[in-house]
Amino acid sequence: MIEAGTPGGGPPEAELVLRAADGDREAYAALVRRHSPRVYSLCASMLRRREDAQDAAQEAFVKAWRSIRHFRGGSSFATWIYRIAANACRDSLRRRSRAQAEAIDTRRPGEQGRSLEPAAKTTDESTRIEDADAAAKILGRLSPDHRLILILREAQGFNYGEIAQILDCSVDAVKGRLKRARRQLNEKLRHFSAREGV
Amino acid sequence: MRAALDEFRDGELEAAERSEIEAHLPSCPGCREEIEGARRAAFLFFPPAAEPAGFDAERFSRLVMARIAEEEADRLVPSRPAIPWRRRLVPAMAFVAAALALWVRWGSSGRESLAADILSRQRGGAMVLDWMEEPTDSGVEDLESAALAQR
Ligand SMILES: [Zn+2]
Repeated sequence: MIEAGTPGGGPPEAELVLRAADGDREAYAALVRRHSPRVYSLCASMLRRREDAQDAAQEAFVKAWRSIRHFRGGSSFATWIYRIAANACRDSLRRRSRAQAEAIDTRRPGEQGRSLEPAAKTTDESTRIEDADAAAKILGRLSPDHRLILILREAQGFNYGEIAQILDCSVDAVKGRLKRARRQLNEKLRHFSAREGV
Repeated sequence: MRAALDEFRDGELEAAERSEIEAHLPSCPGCREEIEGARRAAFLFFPPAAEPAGFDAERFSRLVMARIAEEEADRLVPSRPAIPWRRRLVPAMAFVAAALALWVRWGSSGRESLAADILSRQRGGAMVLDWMEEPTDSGVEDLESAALAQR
């Protein structure tokens, strides 16, 4: 699924990458149009603020342009750009002060205007908002690396091999990290339910 | 077993293991519950990424290309880096030269700490160089606020 074909026609991916590596900006712009929705969606899940997600996604594509001459197609362009975007998200989280992070945590239920949660399909709207808010709180307490791997697997639907390419590690390492991330999520979930009496 | 259930849910098991679990599930409510619970939690925490609402790939790509053009224009006119580069590099060179001269005069006892000192100085120098290779960000804020205003 990561090997983006040529959605909506247009030149094949490999050709665009070669041309971009030769300095062809039109070709690169086409790659940006093709991959930016999913890259942005990854950044949005990681950072949960529209402006930060925009910044990180832009940062990723600008950085990728700087080094596309050295990109030699050992992996797909998609995996490569996701890896750069994931690093941009980590940088963004690092820059974000602890105080800001806590400001998100204490966001009140219903204060969803800036949240990027896609709507869960529940019939009861108020339940959905409360659920999404609780989910955001709990996710905010996961370490960035755990959040990243869970987003790649659960929200973005990448398989283990693709995640290994994005995170630049082995498939076994992916299994281990995913296991730890899920365990951490379960623990946070249990603490949260105990405290909030959910 | 639990790990296997996760891999089963992720669709990452080999055919043999997969059919083993498929055969086991009908007779084991515990495992079924485990899988169902994990599925529900995944859906709550990580709703499948849809096309992000309100995201305009066309405009996004224009912003990226504008930033790239800006950056490359800055690189062609390297007004800022030229001066600090020389200003930082010359004293560093002078320091290394002086240190080397001392090194020759000192006995072996002083050499280790001096070497450490030089190394740390060089590392500081490398950081300066890294910083100077960073592109200038002027104009990026303008693009951003223009993008916000467009909304
Ligand atoms: Zn069982």
